[in-house]
Amino acid sequence: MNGDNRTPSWKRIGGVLLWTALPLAAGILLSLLIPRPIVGIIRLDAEIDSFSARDVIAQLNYAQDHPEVRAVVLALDSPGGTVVDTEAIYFEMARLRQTRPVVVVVNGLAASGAYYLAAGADYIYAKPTSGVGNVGVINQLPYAPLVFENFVSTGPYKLWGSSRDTALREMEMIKQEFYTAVKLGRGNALKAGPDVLLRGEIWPGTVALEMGLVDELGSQSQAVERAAAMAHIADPEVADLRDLAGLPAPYVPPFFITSPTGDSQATRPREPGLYLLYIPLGAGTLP
Amino acid sequence: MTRRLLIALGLLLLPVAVRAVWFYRGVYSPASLIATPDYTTFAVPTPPLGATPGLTAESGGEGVVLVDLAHANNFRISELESFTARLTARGIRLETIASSSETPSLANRLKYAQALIVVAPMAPFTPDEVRLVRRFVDHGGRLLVMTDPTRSAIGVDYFAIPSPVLTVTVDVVAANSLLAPFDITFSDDYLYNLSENEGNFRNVFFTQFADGPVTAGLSRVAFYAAHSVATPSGRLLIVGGDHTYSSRTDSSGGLAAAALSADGRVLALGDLTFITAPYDGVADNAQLIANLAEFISSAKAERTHDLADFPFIFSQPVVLVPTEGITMTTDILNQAASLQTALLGAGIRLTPAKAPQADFDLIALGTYTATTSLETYISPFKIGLPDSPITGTLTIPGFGPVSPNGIGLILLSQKPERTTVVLVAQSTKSLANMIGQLASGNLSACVLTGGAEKGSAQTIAVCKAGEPTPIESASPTPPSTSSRSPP
Repeated sequence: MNGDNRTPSWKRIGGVLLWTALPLAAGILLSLLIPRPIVGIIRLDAEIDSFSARDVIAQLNYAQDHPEVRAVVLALDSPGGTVVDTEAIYFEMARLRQTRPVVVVVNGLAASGAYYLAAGADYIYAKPTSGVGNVGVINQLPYAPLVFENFVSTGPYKLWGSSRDTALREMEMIKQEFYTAVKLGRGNALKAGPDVLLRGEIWPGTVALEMGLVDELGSQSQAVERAAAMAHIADPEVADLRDLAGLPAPYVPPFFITSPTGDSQATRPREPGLYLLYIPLGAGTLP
Repeated sequence: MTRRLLIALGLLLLPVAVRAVWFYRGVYSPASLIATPDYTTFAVPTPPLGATPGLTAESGGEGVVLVDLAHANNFRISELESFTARLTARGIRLETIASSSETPSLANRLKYAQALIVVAPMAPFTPDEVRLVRRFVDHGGRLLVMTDPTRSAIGVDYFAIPSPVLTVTVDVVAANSLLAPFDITFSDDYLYNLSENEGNFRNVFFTQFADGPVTAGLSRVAFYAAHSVATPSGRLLIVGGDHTYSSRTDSSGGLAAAALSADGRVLALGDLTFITAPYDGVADNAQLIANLAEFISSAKAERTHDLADFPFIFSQPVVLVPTEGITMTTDILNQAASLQTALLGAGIRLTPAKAPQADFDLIALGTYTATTSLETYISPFKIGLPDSPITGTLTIPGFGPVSPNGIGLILLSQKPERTTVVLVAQSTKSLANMIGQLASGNLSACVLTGGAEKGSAQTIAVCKAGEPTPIESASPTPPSTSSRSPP
C-alpha cells in the first residue's frame, strides 16, 4: 500500500467553500431582497388647503403603494383649514390605516381640522404645551339676497350660495360630523362631553391628555417607536415620505388675506368658505 | 451528498431568515373597524315651525305706542313687522321718536301714549328721560325694552398706536340706564347651548316659563343669541335649562332671557331676532309675539293721567262753563282761546256752554265769591272757600289753611263718566292767569296734592295766580280769618 490515498487539503477547503461559504454568501445577497422596513414621516405644518392636502395625500398614497413603508407618523403643527381638504386627507388616512398604522405626533398645534386628522389616527402623542382641540367650524355668512340691476342671476342664492340661515345650519351639521369623528376616533378614551368639547377651546397637551384627546405625551421618536411596534417591525429606517416620493417643494400661497404690500395679514382666509380653522384674534390682529 | 445539499440550502436561507426575523416581528392587523362617521346620516337641522295665531282686527284698542329711535337704536322698524302688524290691527297708532330734541318732546308724547318700545339702544338715556319714563310707568304706561347681542356695534381704529384697537358698543348699557328704576338688568353676554339648540349654539330653546299673560300658551320658544336678564324684585318669565350657559361666565342654571317688573308694566327681552322673519315662525315664537301685542295694548285700560298730563286728561269733547257771577273779560277770553288751541292740538274740541252736558268733559270757572253752582263743583273736594277773597282763609284737605290772596286752585276730578276741571281764583284777572297756566301745561308755580273723594281720582293744585292784592288797597271789609265751612 502507498501514502497517496489522502484528499489533498486544497480540495477539502474548496469543498467546504463550495457547500458553505457560497450558499451563505448567496443567502446574504438573497436576504438583501427583503427591504428594511420604513416608518415614513409626513409633516403637516401649515394650514390645510388644496395645496397642502394634495401634498399630504401624495405621501399617503406613496405609503399605500410601497410595501416597505410599514407605518406612518403624521407630524402636525397646523391650525386646520378648509373642511373639504381636511375630509380628503381624513379619508385617505382611513384607507391607509387598513394596512398600516398611523401615529400622530403634535408639535406646536393640532387645532380644528388638524385635530380632526389626529382623531383619525391609531395613536396620538403631544407635547405638554402643544395646542390641541378647537373643535368646531367657522364661516363667513353670505349677505342677505340683494337686487343688482347690472349683475343679474337666475335664482336668489346664485350669487350667495345659500341663505344666511341655511349657511349657519350647515355649519351645525359639519360640527356634528366633526364631533362624531372625534368620538369614533377616540372611543372610550374620550372623557370630555359635548358641553366641554364643543366650546371650541384649545387645550395644552397635558390637559388634552386628561380629557382623552391625546394618548400620551411624547416626542417624534417615541411616535416612531410606537408606530413600529404597532406594525410589528424592528430597527426600521425613518424617512421623510416627501423625499422618498420625490415631491417638489410645496407651493404655499398666502392663506389669509394680505395687504397689497404684503406686510400685514387680516385674520380671515383669502378664500371664502367653510373652515375647520383656528384664528387667534389677539391684539394687533385685524378682524 | 444529500447532507451537503441540505447544509447548503440551510446556509442559503439562514441570512434571509435572520434578516426577516430581525426586521419583521409579526403581521399587522388593523382594528376590526376603522371607524369613521357615516356622513350620509347627517342632516342640516331645520327649524321646528309652529302655528301662527290668527291676526284679527280688534276694535277698542285705539291708542298711541311710541317707538324710540332717538338713542342710536340699531334696528329697523320693518324688522318688527310681525309685531307691529298686530298692534295696528288693534287700532293702535305707532309714533316714532326720531330725536331727543324734536317736537313734540318726549315729555309731551308720554302724556298721551300708552306704551313705549325701546329696541337695541346704543346711546344712554339722560336722567330726565329716565325720570319721565318712570313717571309714565307709574301712571300705568307700559315699557317694552328689547336688546340683542347681535346688534353690537363693532368699530376698528386701524391707525391706533401701537396696534389697531377694537371697540365694541353694546346695547345693554343704555338699556340698563333706563331699566334701573324698575330693578331689571341685562347682562353683557349671550346665552348658548351646545347640546340642544336651534341650528347653532347661540340659538337657544326655552321651555321653562313663569305663569302669566306674556307666556300664555307657550311650550317652547327659540331665541337667537339673547342677553340674559335679572330682576331681584320682579319675575323671570323665560328661563333656560341646565345646559344653557352664559358666555360671560360659562356657567348655567336659571338664566333668563325675559323678565317682568314687579308692577307688571315693564317687560325686558334679551333678543330681537326671534321677532324677525323667518324666526317669528319657529316653535311658539308667533304666540309670544301675539302675547307681546296684548301686553302693549292692554296698557290703555290701566293708563291714568293727572294734571301734569294736560290736555290729555280729557277723553271726550269739553265744555267751558263759567259759573254764575263770572264775566268773560278780555283776559279770560284770551286765555280761553289759548286753552281751546291747546285742546285742539290734542284732538279735543272745547266749546263754551252754560251748563255741563252729557258725554262732555267739563272745565268750570269760578271765583272765591262762590255761588251755589260753583259749590256744586267743588263740594267733592271738601274745600272751604274764604269769606273774603283777600283776607279770608282757604281750607284745603291735607293742606291746611291757605290765604286766597294771589292764590288760585285747579281742581281735577276723574270719573268714568266725566273728567272735571274747576278753576277758582280770587278775581277774573287771576282766573285768567290760572286759565293761562293750565293752557300752557306749565304748573311749575303749583303745589299738587290728592283729593278726598272716594271713587274718583282727584288732584288739587294750589297755584300762584298773580301778585297778591295789597291789603290796604282792598275794599273796606272787616278783616277775617275765618272761612266758610265746606258744604
